[in-house]
Amino acid sequence: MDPVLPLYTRNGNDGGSYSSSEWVATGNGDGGVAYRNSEETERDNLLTVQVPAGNGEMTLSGHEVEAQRNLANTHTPREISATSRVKRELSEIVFCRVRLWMVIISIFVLIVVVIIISMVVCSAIHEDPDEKFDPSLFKVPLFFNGSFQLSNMAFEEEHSTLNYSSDALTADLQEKLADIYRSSPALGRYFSKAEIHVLRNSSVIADYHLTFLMPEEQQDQLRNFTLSREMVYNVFRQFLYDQEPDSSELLYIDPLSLNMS
Amino acid sequence: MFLWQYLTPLLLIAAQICKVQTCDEFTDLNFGHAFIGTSISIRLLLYTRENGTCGTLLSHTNLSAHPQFKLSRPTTFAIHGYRPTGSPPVWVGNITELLLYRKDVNVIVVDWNHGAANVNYFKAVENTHKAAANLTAFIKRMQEHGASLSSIHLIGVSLGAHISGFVGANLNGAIGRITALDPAGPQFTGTAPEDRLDSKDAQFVDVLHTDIDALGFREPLGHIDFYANGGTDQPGCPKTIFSGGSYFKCDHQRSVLLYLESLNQTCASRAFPCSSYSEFLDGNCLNCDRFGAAGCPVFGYDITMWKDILLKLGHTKTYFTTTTKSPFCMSGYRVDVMIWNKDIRWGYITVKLHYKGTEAVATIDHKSLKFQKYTETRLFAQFDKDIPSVHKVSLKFSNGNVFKPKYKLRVLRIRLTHLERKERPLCRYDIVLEEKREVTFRPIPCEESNF
Repeated sequence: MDPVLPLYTRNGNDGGSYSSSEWVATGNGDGGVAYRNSEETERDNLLTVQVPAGNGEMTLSGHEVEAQRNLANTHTPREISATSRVKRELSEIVFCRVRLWMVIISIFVLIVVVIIISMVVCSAIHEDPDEKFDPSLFKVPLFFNGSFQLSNMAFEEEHSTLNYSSDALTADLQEKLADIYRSSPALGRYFSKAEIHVLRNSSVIADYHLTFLMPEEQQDQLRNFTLSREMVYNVFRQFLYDQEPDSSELLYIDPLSLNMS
Repeated sequence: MFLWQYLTPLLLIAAQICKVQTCDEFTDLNFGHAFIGTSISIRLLLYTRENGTCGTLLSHTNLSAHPQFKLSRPTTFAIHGYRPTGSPPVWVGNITELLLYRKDVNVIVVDWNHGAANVNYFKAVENTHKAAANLTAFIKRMQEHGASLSSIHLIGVSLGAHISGFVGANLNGAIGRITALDPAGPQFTGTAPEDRLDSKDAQFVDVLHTDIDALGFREPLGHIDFYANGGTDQPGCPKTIFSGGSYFKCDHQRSVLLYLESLNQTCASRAFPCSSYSEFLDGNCLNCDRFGAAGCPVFGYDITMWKDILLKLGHTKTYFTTTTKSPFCMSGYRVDVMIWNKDIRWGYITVKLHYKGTEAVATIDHKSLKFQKYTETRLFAQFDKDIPSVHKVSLKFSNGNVFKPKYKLRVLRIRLTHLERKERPLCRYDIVLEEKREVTFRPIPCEESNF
């Protein structure tokens, strides 16, 4: 027990002496101003650096003693003095009324804000490489032909007074076909035009003629995949399946009648 | 006093009648017995179609004492495993009932609860050899009375699986079939084949693994080994110890539940031969051509349909997945996706199938999937229920990135092929899947592909 107790008391003493020097430091506002006016500032700093090496034999002004104590304190693991020192250092005035802790917090806030802004900007300016294309490069034509049947049309002609002229029907069908392909995410950009020839006999059969334009590069890949017969045909076919099956609409196209060569 | 002269025979007759009518039950012990430790004693309880729910305690020596024990019928033994609490296994009633429902057999429940109920697992392991010796002697006696070894089927759970193996080895592998339900791993892993179950112990050995990372045996042991959900963690089982005792036994016990369901014929779980579970999940093992018209083996009691081909193949390691609760079987689809995005895309896919208000969901998220332009990505989608006819399909693409811009998966064609039914695959062409946004559509029958 004996060696421990003196240690405690010494600690207490040190704390006491330390707090008194603190008083000196804060209460010495005038002295601080006075010494700031003198030319000794630089030398003071030099001295403080040299003090630990010189082992404190020099005569020092009050605030220098304080500084030295500080250095000594950093090496003694005492909690109270450490936290109060950190507190004091944090509330040190950097300039005007801005204290150190404010500076530190604002740096952190700034980092977070920068990260968030950059992420927002990145996702906002993100360009989908698949949405970029130059239609002027699409020159190589590709044709698809086929036919389909308008199953509601024959019925309508017999029983209704509606007179659907051949030209109007052709135009409407052409528009419908063009819409299908233009709205297609994969094929839309290559689509050029759709032509329709309506044949009327017992039922209404329409021949269609589709034109696509592709870029010269990657022609083969496009021909084999995106602009393959399977794709062009099935985009049309699945559109027809999506129609209401019991539709009495005039332009209803029977999905089973669709073919493409 | 003379009254006793009349009463005594009357009481004796009454006792005799009661004795005939009472059923012999599985030994019910408690934790106290297990704590003190029990020494081996084996009871054989016979159930037949004549007395399906009422067990008869068989004499080890005098087989002719039981007229209902007809040796012309095949005999199935059910052998339980380690009983740390001494309670009777919950499945005893179910398994006898279902075995008798499926086939006219003698079902013998091997009750070695005295011996298996012991807090000291090592003691129970020691007792397996004694139990096996006892059972071997009984089967030899059956053989003397005209039973054929090839008509004997041993179903062993956990330690019971190894008992079956020892019995089979004692009889030089002449036994017809051994079914091992999650054979015990501790004290058996890494031992020589004669110290555990192996495929030489019977003419045909089928094994189910459900807990290879704890109580079960990791390596294949039979002619065919089924690994349910990879053999490790079973869906629906607790993930943490906070759920109490079921955390330890749920995975292990699932093996019996799965087998009972196969006996019940609720639904069929197709098992795919594969080198590893991750290969299986990747959909690289969906080819069943080597099994001919029968297709890949179906897990469970009816695996004997594949016996000949499996014996020819030697050792087959197969995988299947299950749902969280009964009905356990899943319905599989092969999903092929081709995209036209310039850049490679990574992510997970959730597929939903709709049919008149019912919905089946499959989430393919065992790893991040790679999608590459004009290359078909094959996925294996397993749905929690079978949809007879698909009216609509929903797809959702996600890649787990929170801060990155929302990518789009630009699909040229997606094709769903049912793995069981030989029906035309379902297709959808030209769709854009935006991240985390579900797209629902009506699929159309696929055309012959010429991509």
